[in-house]
Amino acid sequence: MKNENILKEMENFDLETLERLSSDEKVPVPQDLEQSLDRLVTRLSVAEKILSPEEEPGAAVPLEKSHPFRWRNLWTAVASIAAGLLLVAGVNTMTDLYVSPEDTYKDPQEAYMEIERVLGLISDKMSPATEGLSQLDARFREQMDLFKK
Amino acid sequence: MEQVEFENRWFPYQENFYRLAFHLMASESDAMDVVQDVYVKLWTQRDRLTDISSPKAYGLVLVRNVCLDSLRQKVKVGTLDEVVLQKTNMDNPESRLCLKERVRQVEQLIEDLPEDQRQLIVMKFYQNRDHEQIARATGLSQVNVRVKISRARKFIRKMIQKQENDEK
Repeated sequence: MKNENILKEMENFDLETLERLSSDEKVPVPQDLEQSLDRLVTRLSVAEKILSPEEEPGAAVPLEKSHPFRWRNLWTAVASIAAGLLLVAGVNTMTDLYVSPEDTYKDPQEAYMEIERVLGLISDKMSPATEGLSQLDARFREQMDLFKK
Repeated sequence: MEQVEFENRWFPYQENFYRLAFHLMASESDAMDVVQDVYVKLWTQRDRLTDISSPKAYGLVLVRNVCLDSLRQKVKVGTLDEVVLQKTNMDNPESRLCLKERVRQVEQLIEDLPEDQRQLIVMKFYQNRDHEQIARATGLSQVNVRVKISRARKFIRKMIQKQENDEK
């Protein structure tokens, strides 16, 4: 009965009484109290994390976890985009320079006659030149013959 | 609520909780057990207690109730009014015991892991390193780290489940 009375009395302690008892500095506190409680909470936390359901290793990882923001990454991205744009501009320019000319003749017969006319012109122009070359060649041979003598 | 936040909220009152428990239990070791039980309870319910306006008051009442639990287990209370028991609003002390036992089982299973997996579990969960840091420290790829840790966790969960089934 005595124990029951004690328990009932304890049950009826109001907050003021609890506060008063808890502030009694005559009660020494173990020096390792905080350390042991910290260890306890760590153990609880670890066990909880290990036993909690997890995402599969191959599952999608939230973007922030897989690609955390870094200034280095931003710079790399900007530089890559700029390089790509330069490459496209360069290819475009080169393409403009080396585009083959469009065909000017639709009729093959007409194109053939024009070619003949142009070759004829070239031949006329070259004839005086080749005659001159023949004369030079003859004089060269004369000189060589004199030299041999 | 993470561990750091929890400790910031509830650790400032640990000495108060201990002194009250000592007064009620009249024993240093029993008072320590009570305080540990109180923090186990606070941890398991931490996300539900964020709106408590006075953590200290809440904790002191909890200390009292846990002391009553403990004393009732020590004392024969055959004639105690059941209504009084219900009014004390105590949780089941056995559930706190089960949780502690669960923690002990997990730790034993971690010890039983292959060394490479055990090392990764320690680095991840006790040293709070992320996968990138673990990969750098061990020379493994991040994917490999993730896979090995996942494998270790699956093993532990499976063994705990098996133990629970064996107990039933």
